[in-house]
Amino acid sequence: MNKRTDENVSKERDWDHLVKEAFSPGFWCFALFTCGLGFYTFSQQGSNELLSIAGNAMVLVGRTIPTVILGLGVAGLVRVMLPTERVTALIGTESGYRGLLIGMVAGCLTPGGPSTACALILAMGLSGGDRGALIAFFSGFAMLNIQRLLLWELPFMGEEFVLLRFLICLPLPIVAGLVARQLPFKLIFNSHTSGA
Amino acid sequence: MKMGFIILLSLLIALVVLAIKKGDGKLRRGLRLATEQFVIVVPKVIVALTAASFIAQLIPSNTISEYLGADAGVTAIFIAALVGMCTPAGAVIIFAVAAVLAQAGADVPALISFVVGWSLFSVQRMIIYEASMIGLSYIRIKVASVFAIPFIAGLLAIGVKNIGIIPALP
Repeated sequence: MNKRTDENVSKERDWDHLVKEAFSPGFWCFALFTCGLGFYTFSQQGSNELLSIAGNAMVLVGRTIPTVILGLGVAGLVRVMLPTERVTALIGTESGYRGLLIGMVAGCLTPGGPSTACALILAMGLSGGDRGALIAFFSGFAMLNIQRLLLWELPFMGEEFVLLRFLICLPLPIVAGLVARQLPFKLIFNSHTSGA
Repeated sequence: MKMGFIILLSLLIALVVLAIKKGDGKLRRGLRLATEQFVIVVPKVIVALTAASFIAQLIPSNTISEYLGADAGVTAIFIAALVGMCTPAGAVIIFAVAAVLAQAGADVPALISFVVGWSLFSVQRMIIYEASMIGLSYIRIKVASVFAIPFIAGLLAIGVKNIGIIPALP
């Protein structure tokens, strides 16, 4: 049943490809921008200041990377083991508050990046899912997604911030879903990309 | 920071045990995925944190605390939410910027508005994925439904702060 997902997940990329992706043109632009900032700092404040800022940044990197490594391990294993399709199949079959709640929880748990989430939203929409549930799913994915929380927010912001933000945002996907149900706009999906 | 590390470590150990029990090469595939992501992500983390540190240094820290600090109150929420909504960057850069802003004196409610604003509006995602894959009518409904949320989150955070709950930042 989950064969397709498994194949997607297990598709291993060779190292050349990975290195190419890591050092993409976008990365080099950003690196160049950073060098520009460094040069500007040097010209304004001298080499001592430049070295101290760069040193601080490296300390920050050193503090962040170990947690990122753990987060990546967790994200990888969750992605391989969680049956995403079964979770999202539930959405759209329920209405009322229950539908919103299921949408939110599914968004919270769905692993992967925006391409996965958008493909799921499209699939749910095309199969007639309720717009409130779709928006609750999206908001849950955007604000509460566990993978992003553990992988990025926790290493950079610390557990107390993450916990507070999570609790504050917890009811908000429901609010967004209720607003979506009241909107008079039409919702038309790009059906030609449904195979994506 | 230690607590977060411990949470992740226990989670990882639990998942590894689960994966070994399930067998089926799941452990190897999961770890392989993690290694691939590691290669892609580490250069970005290094550059993002360096860039964010320079930016924080170039913007005088009293400017940051003036506009995003505790004294700016509700104004800080609005500025932070709008900046977050308009920032075209991925998660690595956003959280690096947020961490450096926090060091430079930005207040927790403002940081929450910033992160939530970015997470819901992420310009890159809207253009690359939502517009092309799902459609413009979906974006219209989405934007209208979630527009107020970064502001609501920030205001809730101010309320929580007034009760006396203030999280420690790393």
